[in-house]
Amino acid sequence: MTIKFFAYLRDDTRTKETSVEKADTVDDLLRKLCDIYGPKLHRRFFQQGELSREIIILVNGRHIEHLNGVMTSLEPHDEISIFPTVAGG
Amino acid sequence: MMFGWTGTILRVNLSTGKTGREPLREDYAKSYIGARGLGSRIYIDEVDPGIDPFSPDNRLIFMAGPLTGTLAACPGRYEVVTKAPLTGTIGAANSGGHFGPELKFAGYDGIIFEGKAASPVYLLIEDDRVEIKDASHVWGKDVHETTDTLLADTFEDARVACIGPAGEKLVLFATIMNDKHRAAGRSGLGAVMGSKNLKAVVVRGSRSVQVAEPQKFLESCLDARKKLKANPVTGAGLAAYGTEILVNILNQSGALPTRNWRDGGIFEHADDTGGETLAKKYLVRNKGCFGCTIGCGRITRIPSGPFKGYGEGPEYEAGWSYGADCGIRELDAICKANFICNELGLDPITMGSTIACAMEMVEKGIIKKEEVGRDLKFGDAEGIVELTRKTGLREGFGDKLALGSYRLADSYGHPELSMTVKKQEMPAYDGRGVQGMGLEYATSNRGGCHVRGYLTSPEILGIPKKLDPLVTTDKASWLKIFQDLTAVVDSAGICLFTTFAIGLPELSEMLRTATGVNLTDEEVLRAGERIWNMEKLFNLKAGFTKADDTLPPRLLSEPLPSGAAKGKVTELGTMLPEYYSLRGWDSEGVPTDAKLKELSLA
Repeated sequence: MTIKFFAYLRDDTRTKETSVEKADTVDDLLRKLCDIYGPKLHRRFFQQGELSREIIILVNGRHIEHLNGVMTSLEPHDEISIFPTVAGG
Repeated sequence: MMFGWTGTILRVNLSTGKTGREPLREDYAKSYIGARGLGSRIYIDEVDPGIDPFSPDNRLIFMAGPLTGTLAACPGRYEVVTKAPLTGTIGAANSGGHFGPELKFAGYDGIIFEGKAASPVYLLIEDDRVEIKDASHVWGKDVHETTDTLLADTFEDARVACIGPAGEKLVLFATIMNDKHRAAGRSGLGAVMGSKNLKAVVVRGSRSVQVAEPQKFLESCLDARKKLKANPVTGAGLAAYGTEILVNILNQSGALPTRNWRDGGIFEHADDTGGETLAKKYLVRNKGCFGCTIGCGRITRIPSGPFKGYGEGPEYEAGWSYGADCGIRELDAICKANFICNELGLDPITMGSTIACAMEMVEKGIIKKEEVGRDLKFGDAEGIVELTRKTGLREGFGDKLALGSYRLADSYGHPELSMTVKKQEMPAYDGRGVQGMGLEYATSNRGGCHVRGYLTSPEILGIPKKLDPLVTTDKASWLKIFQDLTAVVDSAGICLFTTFAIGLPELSEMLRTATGVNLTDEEVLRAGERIWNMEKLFNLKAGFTKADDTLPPRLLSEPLPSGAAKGKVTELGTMLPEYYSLRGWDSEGVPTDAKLKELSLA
């Protein structure tokens, strides 16, 4: 599956995009990414064991809040986009 | 004595050369707050809704708010109000920078211009000194030259709001620019200024704004500022990346309108045009307006190449109009076109969107490339720069583009290719993939516009709460609250971006302690509803009907071809009746007598 990073998450991972062979759920994927990129990313993603409210995750363009949250199942062809909370207008 | 408000409005008759001071009506200040609300109230009192915007009898009103120029959170805003030449609706455009605060420091809440000068003039204000002065030496000059010349002629520390050649030449989407780079941008208010032969307003003030309860006001401001600093968006994200950071999240959500909204909501080169790329390649530093703690402004430089230049921006909507909407991936060309908009005084949202519309018409063979003077097609980076310049100067094909996309497409028999509501271009958020934004565009009192009720915030960004962008449920009720709250924020004189971190309680407390007027939170929000209904009444009297509260056929009948919103059109027919009902309007979108009485508008 393809994972795309945006804004300062690119500084944390030093990449715009990566791929992970297998992850069953979003939670599983996030933990794998933390293993790859280290504690800084872990601090971004999780606060007190929960997904940080300052992270936006889309699976194939759908916000995981409208799917099954961090327990959203993932398939090998999925595209996951991860953003810090951003805004403009 | 009034607090927050200066209590004085300046009236300038450009036909007679007479200037005078008038007291601000206290009942109006309490009911309409300031800036957008107060300016619109005064405007509507004085002008027949059927007026030709370019008639000398039309008024052009600059109005600050009670928090403008104070210690409040991001208090740099003021509003320009008149009937808009692009739309024929009430025109109200909000701008930041330092001009609004300086007007307050000179002792005025606002300026009412009436009449038309016999030859080009500018208004010079230095506290009590008010003079109409000859501007023939800057007529024809761009915004930067005009500003520099008038500062050299007057005071180097004064503040200037002016028009560029586009406003002089009555381009229907000409802006009024202040502090060189900040714009009262939408709907063509700069053309009304041009029609009055008014090139600029130069203001210098030496006073301060008095507040009613200094200690409590300071505490309320510090509370708001603390929340802005602690918020990840207003405290870090906007400073680092500017508003252009939205490109990727809209694109990944499948709602970034691409190639005149024809190709759906995914632009394959979006990342090349996003805030991350801008920060990496061209950002010199960020910049804030008066008293701003956010600093979303972009000072940008294109160091070399055909699009070499220096200026500010682009904001997200400008970056989108020239980027995804025109199919352009070259960020240097996008920046350059945006610089030219600021220099000539053009609204980049309408400009880029009008070029995108022309691109589609050329590709369809409706407009001949010989007529344009180049083989214009989506992706033509040089084309956006050349046509922007030609439009600002009304040269060649630019003279046709100067009327905006609706009149352009309509003149060739294809109005359906114009992505407009009430003849104003919708920006940057596809209402098929963000349903609430579709309703927002259809009901905005100034036509296609994103900042009258920014439902992108909950629908895409999850602020203050995540709503599903693909459903219509609850969108009408959220939109009503957002529209009413935005009307008060615009009227108070603070930046709309504060609402990413603070809400009605903080705004109301700053208003109460600054003005000494004890409005409850509910009464403050009710003022916003009053302003919204007042604007709506003006539009109805100007001839607008329910038939105008709609969207281009493309959004209603061409489903998005791909992405998360694949297959969706904007379900306006579901949302609009609910919206009218929640607003207390009848099925034709007309406020009921009961609603008008409730709002003291009857």
